Amino acid sequence: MRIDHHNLKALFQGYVASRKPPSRKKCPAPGVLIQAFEPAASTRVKKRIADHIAECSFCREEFMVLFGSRKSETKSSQVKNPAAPYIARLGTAGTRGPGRPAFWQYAFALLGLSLAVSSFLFLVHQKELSETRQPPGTGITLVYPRSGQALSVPFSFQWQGKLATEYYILELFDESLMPVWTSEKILDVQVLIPSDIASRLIPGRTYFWMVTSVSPNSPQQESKLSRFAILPPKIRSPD
Amino acid sequence: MEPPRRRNSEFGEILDAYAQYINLQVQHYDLPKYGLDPEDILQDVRIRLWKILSGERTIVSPASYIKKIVSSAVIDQLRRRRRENELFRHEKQKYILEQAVPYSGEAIRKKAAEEAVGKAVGRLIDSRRQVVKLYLLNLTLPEISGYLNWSLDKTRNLLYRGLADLKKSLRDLEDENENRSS
Repeated sequence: MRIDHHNLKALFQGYVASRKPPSRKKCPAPGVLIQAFEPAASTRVKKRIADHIAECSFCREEFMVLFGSRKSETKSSQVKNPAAPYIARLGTAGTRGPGRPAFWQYAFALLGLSLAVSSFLFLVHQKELSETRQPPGTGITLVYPRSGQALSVPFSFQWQGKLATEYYILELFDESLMPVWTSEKILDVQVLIPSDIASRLIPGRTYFWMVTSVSPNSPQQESKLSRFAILPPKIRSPD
Repeated sequence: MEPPRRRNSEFGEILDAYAQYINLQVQHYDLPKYGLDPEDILQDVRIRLWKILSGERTIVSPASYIKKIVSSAVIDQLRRRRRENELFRHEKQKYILEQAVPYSGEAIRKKAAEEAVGKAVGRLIDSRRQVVKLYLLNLTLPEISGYLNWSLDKTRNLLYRGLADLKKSLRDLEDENENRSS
């Protein structure tokens, strides 16, 4: 059997297409299926639906219909809501009754927006810290290339190791997570990218890398996936 | 209790104000692709709205409520259409089975491979399984991360690990089969 992504998708879709339950008693109600697309829906519900659609081609079709509409909606989210004047007349969230002053609507929207932005910045900052300040011994920290860094070839990968590691394996992937290179056993905490691999990296593209540590007496540990980009080659002056 | 005339005018007011919005919501579904008539959905949405208002219920947030009504009208229509097609499909299948030559070796191998992949995906550990399933059903990484409300990095990590587990499991199965046949 050819085990590439394309073939796996075709086989899995063939498997799902053949799954037709004799009755739909165990299928989620339309409301539950619709609910799963709400951002506030619990992960448990979302996962349950994802599991179910792989076992029921009927629900899979419905899931894809809903999914397609959400996608199309996102694309056209710039379209102005034609009902805006009516909503304004009804007041906040379209409740019946006298309209509230627009000032408060803007103030709340601004407050919400600033909270969202500060939470996002806080999370990004925390993520960077967790990637760079992980204490040695508790895991593998990728040091260079840093997450999101753009650099030119050749370069060395560097990481902070784990105590009692016998050797490391470094894996490099392209944007679609297809493997580009898997190293031999590395006894150090750095390795220079081989020239034949470096020559295959395309400037402007994003790549991902991760390190796995192998120890004789403990289970394998993997680092996070970290991404970097390749810069175009520098043009040297004629002299 | 509100007089029927007032409910009528409210119904008309909502339909007027949201007509374009309802049309837009219905258009998002690309219904002809699934053999559904947009006009049927629009009619269904109008009936549902009327039932809500005549049942003395208050629509708190009309826009999101209409969106839900459109979604459930589409799903209901899909299910109804499927039930109607069921009989036709059953007869057609009976005819095909009567005409069909016995399964070819290639078809049997393909079926076995599909079953093997389906079962191997089902055996993946919980957190990776759903990501892999959605990926194999042709959703992209950003789409999966959007649906599950997970960061792109987390989704990517789980997908990579899940696909690696899946490939290993299929290779092991292949080796097992080869050993058995040799």
